[in-house]
Amino acid sequence: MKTVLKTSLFLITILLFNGCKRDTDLIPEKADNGVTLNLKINYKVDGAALIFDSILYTNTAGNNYEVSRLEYYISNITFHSTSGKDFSPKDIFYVNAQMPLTNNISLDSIPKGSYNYITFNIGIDTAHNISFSLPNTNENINMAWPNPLGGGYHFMKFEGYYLDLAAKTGFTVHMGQNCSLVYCIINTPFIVSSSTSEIKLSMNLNEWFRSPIIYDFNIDGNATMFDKQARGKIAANGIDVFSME
Amino acid sequence: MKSLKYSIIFGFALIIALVASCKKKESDETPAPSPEALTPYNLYCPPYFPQLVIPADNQLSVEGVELGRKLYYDSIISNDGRACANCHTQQYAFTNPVPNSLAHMNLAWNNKFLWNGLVEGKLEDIMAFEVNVFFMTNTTKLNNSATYPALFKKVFNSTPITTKQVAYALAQFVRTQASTNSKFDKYLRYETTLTSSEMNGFVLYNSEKGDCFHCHSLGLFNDNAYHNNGIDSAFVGVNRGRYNVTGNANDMGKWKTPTLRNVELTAPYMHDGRFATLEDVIEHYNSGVKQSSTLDPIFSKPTHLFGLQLTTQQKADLVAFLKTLTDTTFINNPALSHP
Repeated sequence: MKTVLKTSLFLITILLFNGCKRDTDLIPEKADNGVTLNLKINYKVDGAALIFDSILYTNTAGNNYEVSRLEYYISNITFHSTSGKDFSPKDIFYVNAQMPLTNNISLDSIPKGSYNYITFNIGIDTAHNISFSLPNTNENINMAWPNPLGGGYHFMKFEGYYLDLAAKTGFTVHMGQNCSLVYCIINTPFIVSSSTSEIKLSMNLNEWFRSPIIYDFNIDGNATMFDKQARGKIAANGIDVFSME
Repeated sequence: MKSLKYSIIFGFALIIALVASCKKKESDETPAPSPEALTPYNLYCPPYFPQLVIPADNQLSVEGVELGRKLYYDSIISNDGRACANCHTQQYAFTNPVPNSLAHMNLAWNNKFLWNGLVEGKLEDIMAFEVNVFFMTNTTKLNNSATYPALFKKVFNSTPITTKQVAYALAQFVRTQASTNSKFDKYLRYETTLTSSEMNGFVLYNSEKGDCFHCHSLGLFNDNAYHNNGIDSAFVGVNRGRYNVTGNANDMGKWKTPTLRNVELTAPYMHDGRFATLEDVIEHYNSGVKQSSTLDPIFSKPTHLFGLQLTTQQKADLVAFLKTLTDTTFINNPALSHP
């Protein structure tokens, strides 16, 4: 009898202390899940920090311009590894140059190692460029590309003013539709180690107008949304708008 | 027999231990019971609206909304006989021809308030402005009333009534002033079709020629942003718009984009009511846009330099489409009317 009672008390004690573990308790010991780092984006015009709403900048074609809006999507980010094991998260990121939080893109589980270069799209790939495919935030709704015009989303809204024969005139570089997806390459090798917490990227706005095609508001147009040819030139120029700092 | 007895004792102990150990900790997972049980209020959010975010400290309840509604129609919140409803009449989609007030409609999904954006943030913020600054609400009158103390106690579980509570109750009601059942909403839900003129207007609205969609985004039919839409070329006094709030020259002549929902009912138009009819508004964009240094870049498109150049039929089509945004359910909803 005593033995049974002792055993029962022992069992009760053990069970009360340990109890039934809930799922949330059953987390295995943390494995090496790679590195979490922040892609920090800033904006320059040929080396000078971007200041909004001031006619300060001159592009290759000689247009003097200022920037009043810059918002876009980044998707299909790929870190190309020297070992062949690329890192490629599936997320689509909304970025607004005037909203600091959106210019810090957090990436998780990046394998440590050395990488040759980064590629990504400015815009949304064909599979996801479908109306209402993104969460209905104010920003995503305002980036919609209307269904009667093909649907999906604006890839980028880059707006401002330029001096057209000394008169201040607006420009609207609006990108969208699958044919205008921008492919970016940052051809800089880098290493991700446990001490890597941030990679700084910089967009040089003048690159949108420089190469391989010099874009002139007075010749190529100051509005691209309804001009597929103009969008094509901007998209081609987008390949090297970003660099690593 | 003895061993059977021991087995029963052992088994019983084991069951007690298992049951006791599996019980969830109440302090972890059970919210503190509210002294007064409130009935949750579920607000419908169409799939093409922005996600609805309601502050954690002012979740909707049937009782809270009803209190807000009572206050909305009661001049007790002012010192000059006015109530919210004096300038926001349901039959005009909660605006008013005189004064030309902005509509109280779908503000639950807005974060900029008043024509010049004097208040930004949550509905609670703009209602705090209305209570503290616009009406200068005297809470003594509310605390001394026969009905309000019990209603506030029920919703907020504290006494005495504060201006914050008045603002929160008003925010709850205004959050329910949702217009989501216009003909266009029914069209989006495949419940009806548009006439050919309405459809032509819809296509024009979303085209390069009409180009309404950039500022009046589908869904809310505004973009929660400020623009100079070319109604003035020189800016004096109140016409300086957003500049009067920020002092930034780049904001000169910019205004919050008003929603186009129920626009048929919200005449006159623009911040100063300068346009009496929808036709006048369309004619402004067709031929009357004035240049200035802050004119929105959208108006500088090559195709817009000399106005939209719409035909008479195209203007009529646009008006026909805009009238599909009229929501008779909204303006006749008894839950929004004078209690």
